[in-house]
Amino acid sequence: MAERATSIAAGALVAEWRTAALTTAPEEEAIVAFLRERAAAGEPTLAVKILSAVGTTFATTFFLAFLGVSRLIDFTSPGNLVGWGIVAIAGGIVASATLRRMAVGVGRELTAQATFTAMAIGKVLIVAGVVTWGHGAIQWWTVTAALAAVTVATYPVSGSSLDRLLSPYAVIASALFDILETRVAGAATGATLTVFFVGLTAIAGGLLLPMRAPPVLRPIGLAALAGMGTIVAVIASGHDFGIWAGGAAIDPRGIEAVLTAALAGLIVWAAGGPAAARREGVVAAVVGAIALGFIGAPGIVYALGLLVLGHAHHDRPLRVVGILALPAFVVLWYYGRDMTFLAKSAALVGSGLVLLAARGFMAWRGLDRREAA
Amino acid sequence: MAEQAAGPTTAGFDDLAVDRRALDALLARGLISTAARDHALGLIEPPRDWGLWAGRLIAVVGAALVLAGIVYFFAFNWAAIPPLAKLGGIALGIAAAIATAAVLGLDHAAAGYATSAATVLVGVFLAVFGQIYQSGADAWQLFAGWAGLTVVWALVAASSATGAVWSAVVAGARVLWGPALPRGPGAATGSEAMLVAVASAAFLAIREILVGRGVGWPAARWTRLYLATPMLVAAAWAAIEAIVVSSFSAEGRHVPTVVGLAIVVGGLAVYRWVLRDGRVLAGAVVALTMIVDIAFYNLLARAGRAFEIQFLFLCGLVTLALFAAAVAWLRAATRAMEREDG
Repeated sequence: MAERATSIAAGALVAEWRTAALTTAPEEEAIVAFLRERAAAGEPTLAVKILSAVGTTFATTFFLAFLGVSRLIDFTSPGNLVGWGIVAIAGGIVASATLRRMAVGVGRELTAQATFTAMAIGKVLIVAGVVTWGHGAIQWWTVTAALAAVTVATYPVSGSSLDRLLSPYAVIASALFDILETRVAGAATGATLTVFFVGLTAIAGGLLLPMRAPPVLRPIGLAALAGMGTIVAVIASGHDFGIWAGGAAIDPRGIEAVLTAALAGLIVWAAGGPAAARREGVVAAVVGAIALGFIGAPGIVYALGLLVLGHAHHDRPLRVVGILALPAFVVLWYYGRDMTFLAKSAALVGSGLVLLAARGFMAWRGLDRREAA
Repeated sequence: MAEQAAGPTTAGFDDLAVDRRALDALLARGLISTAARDHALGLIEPPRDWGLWAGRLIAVVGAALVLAGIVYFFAFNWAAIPPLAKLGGIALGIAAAIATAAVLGLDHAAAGYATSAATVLVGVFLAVFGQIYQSGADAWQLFAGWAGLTVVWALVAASSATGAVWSAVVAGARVLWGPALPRGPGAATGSEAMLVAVASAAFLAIREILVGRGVGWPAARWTRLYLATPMLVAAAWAAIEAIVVSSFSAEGRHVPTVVGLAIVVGGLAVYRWVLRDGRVLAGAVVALTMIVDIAFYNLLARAGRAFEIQFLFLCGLVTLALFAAAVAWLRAATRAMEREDG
């Protein structure tokens, strides 16, 4: 069976670069040193990250149960919880510092696993301490602030990219909960949500699009992208769901406009930047994106954005998420309560016809048979 | 590929695998240019071919959205449509799909989608028929009838998409059949998931045998993951469910545990040493580690020590050690497979 390659041998790659005059001898030395260092550190695959995350979850549960049953920690005392949480995180930071000096093997993995678990226990205890502050009167924004604080404190030393993704996403989800489920935004819930969406879009764009953005910050960009998807799912589920604390319907048009502009900008970026914006294929794609935005099906625009970004970055997981997002949105929309099936039908058929028209245009202009961007 | 020229590379370095993330890291460190990164990506994956890719994407998505819109339209008007028109419309759809496949020929790429659509529409027809005439049949009977009526298409179409749809229908019949069985002392916890795991393993084995004999249509890599994923999830589910229930009741449920464990271990062995697939191997390792960890806790629970302080602490330590060992083994196995595959 033919398998698609996902990597290339380092020696062959360096030779290719040399032949194409893309690197110089001094650069090659630095490249070799970097790749050796990276190989020694053992960059984990996605499966390893998932396995590690499952182990962290299980171990955290057992140790928290131990702390609860043993009464070593007073779970009714916020100060006690926060104090022990800080101790656990400090322990995790110390353990992570030793990781770099350890040789690859079970001992190193055990230390890494213990580090993740200590960090997770610390985060849970600190957030639990904040939640129990004031004899159970939950301070919503304080929870978000606590999540943000532990994320900022642990992000630089966290050895798990999954943790680096999930922690910022927890902050975003908590902030979203604050906006929708508390009266903090008053009557301006919709406007606040739109501003929040603009912020997430800026973070995602700023960290995921520039090729030279530090890879260590990429999980924050992905968390922002996931936050955008969560908001799109919220507005696709129903604008007047009736469960938002503000009690008023959320006007989705601002968010849809930002999303459409983001897709158009993404297309231009993928085509090579502003200089490519005048090319016929790029103009047609931007016009199509704007037409899709006017139809009012944000899930489709979001999913197409994921697919374009994933294709541009050669990022298969992102492409898979984009493909799965399309049917997920269609199913989610089915249960949305504030539009009739007829209106939804018109939006779906309209979106489909826009895409098929674009397909016809591409065929007519011969854009589907050559490198168009 | 250019011949290896003299340079700073040495033994041990040349075989290191460089993937997209490594290239991104090199670029971010300023060690290579954007042009060098793009050049390398072109070697790792085919050129982006934006026009071709976008053309295919928007054709498929556009057609799917129009079809979804039509379904929504019928949902809006469903109550007002006469029964004969409902059934006639669906039958017309089946006929159109089959005619499309017949006209294009089964070798045509679109024929697979047409036979898949026909397979789905047969199920829709049966559901609508049951809704109108209140046949009283159980849901599993609908799925079983659906699978029986379309088995010939699934075989003749020789399409991975149609095969995937048909195997999903069979899985639906199996899942719905379990709860319909008379419940009694012999009804084992975890046995429904076990049925799904066994059947998925059987389909996966058939797929691997066919591909091994050079049959092309099921060879797409997604078909392996499509079958292996429910197999591993259901096997782990069956084993864990039986173990957890056994922890808190006097009756042991050993068959789903043994069968689930056997499927996971078998998958691990096959995809490590015979077929060498890192993704399925990783899934099997995750499933096996979870089963073993929960089984260890079960041993303590059966001894009545589930909530004792020292044993909770011990479980935490064992979990750390177990998952650390699994991660180390998976990393080593992945590196070994990369070496074996050259």
